[in-house]
Formats: sequence, C-alpha cells, structure tokens
Amino acid sequence: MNLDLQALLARRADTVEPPTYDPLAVVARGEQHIKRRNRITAAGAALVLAVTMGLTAVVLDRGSDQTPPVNRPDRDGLTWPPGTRPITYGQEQTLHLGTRQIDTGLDFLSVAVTDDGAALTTIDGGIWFTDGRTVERIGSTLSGRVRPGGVTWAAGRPRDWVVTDTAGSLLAWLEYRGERPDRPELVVYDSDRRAVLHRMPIEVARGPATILAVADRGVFVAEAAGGFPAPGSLRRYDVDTGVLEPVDEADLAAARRGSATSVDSFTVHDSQLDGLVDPRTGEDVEIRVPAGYESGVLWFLQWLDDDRFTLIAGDSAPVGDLLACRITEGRCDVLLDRSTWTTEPLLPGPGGVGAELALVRAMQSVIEARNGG
Amino acid sequence: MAPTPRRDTEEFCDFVTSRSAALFRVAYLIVGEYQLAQDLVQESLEKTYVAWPRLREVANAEAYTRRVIATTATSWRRRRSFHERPVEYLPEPAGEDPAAGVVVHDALWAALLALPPRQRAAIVLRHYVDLSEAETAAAMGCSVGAVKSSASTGLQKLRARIGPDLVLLPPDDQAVTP
Repeated sequence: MNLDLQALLARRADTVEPPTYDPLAVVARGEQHIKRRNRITAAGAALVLAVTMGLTAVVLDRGSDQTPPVNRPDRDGLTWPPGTRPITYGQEQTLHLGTRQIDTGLDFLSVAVTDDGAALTTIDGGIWFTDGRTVERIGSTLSGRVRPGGVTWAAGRPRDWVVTDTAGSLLAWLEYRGERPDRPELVVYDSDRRAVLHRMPIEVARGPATILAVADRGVFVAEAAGGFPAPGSLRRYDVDTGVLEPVDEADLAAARRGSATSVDSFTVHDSQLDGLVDPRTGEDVEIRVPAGYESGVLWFLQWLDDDRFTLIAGDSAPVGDLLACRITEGRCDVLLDRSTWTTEPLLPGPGGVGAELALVRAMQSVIEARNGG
Repeated sequence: MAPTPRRDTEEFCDFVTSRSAALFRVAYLIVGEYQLAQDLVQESLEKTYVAWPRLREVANAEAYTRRVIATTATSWRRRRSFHERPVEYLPEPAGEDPAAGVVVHDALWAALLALPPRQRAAIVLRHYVDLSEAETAAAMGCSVGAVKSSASTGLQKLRARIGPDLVLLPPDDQAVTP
C-alpha cells in the first residue's frame, strides 16, 4: 500500500478546528513583553552602574542568606576561584572538573554544576556531590519507589535528575517518599554549606511534577502533560521566603534574564553566534566564532562566570569541538578538539549522547549484578 | 541615534487574522495536542509582535512565527527532557478494505507522535508545510544536514512502525522520475 504522507498530514490537520486568536489581545501581551524586557534591561544597567559606583556590598548583601554555615568545607585546595565554575563533563566513571579528573566509581547518569563542584545521579536514585576531593551521597530522588533489593529504571529519566542555576550554590530535585508519586517533595540543597535548605511537598493533579529551572533564588516547578508543562501549572518556590506560588512563563523568563542554559543551542550567521543574551544586561551580544562552524549547531554547555561560557559543536548532537567564549572579548576559541573525546562526553544538563550511553552502561551493570556476573 | 522602526499594529492584526489558523495547524501537527498547540501559537504570535518592526514583510513574519513554533516546541520538549513519547496503542496495519485507510492513518499519526520532537518537526515542515530542506533548516534553527538526518531517521522509524508493506511517498522535490 502506498501512503502519501503529505496528504495524510493534511487530512489530520483538517480534522481540527483552529481556535480564533484575538489580535488585540496578542498585541496587549506583546506590549507587556516589551515593557518587561525594557525593565530587565534597565535593571541590568542599574546593577552595572551600582557596581561601578562602589556599591558592590549593598548589591551582594541583598541576595545573601543569613543562615549560619553548616558543614561548609574549606575551599583551600579547590582549583577554581570562588564565584566561578570549572569546565565539567563526564566520561564513563570519570568526572572532569576543571583540571581534576575524579574516578568516582559510579556509573553516573547526569551532571549538574554549581560554584562548589558537581552533583551526579545514579540509576538507583542516588544523588552525589563532589568538589574534586571527595564524593559523598547527599540525597535520593526515589527513596519510596525503589523496592528492597530491586531497582527502578525510573532514575534514568531526566526529570529525576538534579537542576541547578547558572551561578551560585543551589541544587534542587524531587524526592518521592512512601510510594506517593503524586506527592513528591521538592528538596533544595546548598552545596556551599553541604546542607539541605528546604523540603516542600508538591501537590500534582494533571501529570508528573518536574523542575523547569532554578533561577534568581527561585525553583520553578510544573506538571508535565504530554511532554510540556500543563497550562497554568507553573509554580515558583522562593528559596528565601519558603513560599510556593503560581507564576507564568513570563516570570520564568524574567528570572532567567535571557541567560542561556544547557538546553539551548545556537546557529552561526556571518561568523557570529545568533541570539546569545548577556545575562548581566539582557541585551544581545556579538560573539565571533572561529571559521568552520557556520553550518552546524553550537550547543550551550555552561557559564564559567558572568563573562565566560562554553559551547560544544555538533550537527545533530553535541559531540564536536569544545569552545571557550568570553563576552567582553566577543569571541570564542577552540579549547578541546573533538579527537579529545575517547567516548562521547556526558555533559551538564540534558547530557547529550553521553547520557544515553551512560544509561545503557548503568542498566547493563544492574543486570550483570542481578545475574551474578 | 537611528529612529525606532514603527510597530504597525493594524498590519500585525491582519497577519494574525489571516495566518493564525495555518500556523495553528502546523503547531498541532508538531506537538500533537490541541491545547498545547493553541498556547504555543499564542506565545509565538506574541514574540512575533515584539519582533514585528524588524520583520518588515508578512512572508518574513510567517517564517519567523513558524521558526518560533518549531524551536519552542523542540526546546520545551528538551527542557521537559522527555524522550520519545510512549505509544500505548498502535492499530495493526490492514489490507485494502475501505476501513484500512482510516486504520493506517491512525497508526501513522500514533507513530508520528512517538517520534522525538526534532524528527517530528522536520517531517511536518518538509511534508506538510512543504518547505525545502534549506527552509526547514532555517525554521528549526539548525543545519541542512541536521534536517536531512532528522527527517530520514524519523521516516525510517515511521516505516518500521507502520509495517514493511507501506511505502511513504516523498515530497515532490525528492520524487524520482523514471
């Protein structure tokens, strides 16, 4: 039988009655976006001005938490300065953290970076943290769902991983207790203090809870419906006040300040990175990339500080050269050639191809252990 | 200082009125759910309004909105970090009886929904909107090679899922004339 795919798609599209969009309502919402963007830009400019005028202490104090430190480790011996992040990625059981290579002994599935090191997750639901000197277990995503002596593949799902901000020490994850997948706890952890800051039960009604972002001292949680956040389900947990309240996507966008995250990718036009926003000002920036990357995609990896970030090249997957970029210099340079990858790297955030391979390795390890191999 | 380009509200309203239904159908085929498609188009139109002064022409505006739809759909999916959507029910492909077309159509739709978002977007933009590979690459914010790869892999999966006896006709610009 021959199928005309074009005709079948057209027939499917014709079965739905498109909604009517009120043009003036769209215009009104668009104007709100413009005003919000202008406010963000103004706020960024004000911040730059405040720092320039020597008001740094005032600005920094506003976001600080007055809770006394708990188990705060000595920073002596760390190989990167405070307030910055080392280039981080995994290869099999090895975690590359700046200049350090840590043999974790773990088949970790994901990597999330903070200013203090990296959090890893394993297939049994374990959450681990390392600053390059030690690897310690700091929590679990699935305590209620793992049967004694058993394992659940659910820990391989990205929504069970750890989410971090683009700067700072906050980590967030969802923890399930007492066989209640409909009522997870949101856990907020501070990697600077090595301590859990908050636990907050999350009510869900329409789909599994998922953390969309940690940004601007807030954790954004939504319910998933068919792979998207269910409309109206987005909520923000304020880390400083402990208040969980409904928000909309504009609030999430404002919290992110246009800052790229590890789920973003960029194309190149006229040797310039297309669409990168300076998180300090909210304005588009011009970043020149070396020749040879015009036709592919550059995947955002991580911010190293407010000025520096890394990209990885790749056509349909992030497996190419690693580029280091600096906004103030307006350019990127190749830091690691793709030949460096002895295996596909497991990258911060969604993880890339390396995450898929890590999941397969972890599942094989579990099966071999069960079979006594 | 250069003058700020004028934001022609009337022209934008005409664009929304005339093109939103077509844009909705594209969004619906990419995301597979009515409500989500409705929200996606609403959000994309708002972004188009913000960008309106630099788009200049309605054709540019439609391409821009389609790009926002495609990239937002795939980034939402990546942000959700869900992989392929599980297919709980795939109707068996049938023979040449009158009901077979409906069953096959349903099977194909279910198989399409099971594809990763980038592959689905590439197939919808190529086979439904009838964009060229270059236009599809522009709409998805990726290279032509990535479009070829996504569409090819997606079609292979569709063929595998709906059965070996079914042949998917390519778009006109890929058809081979004997």
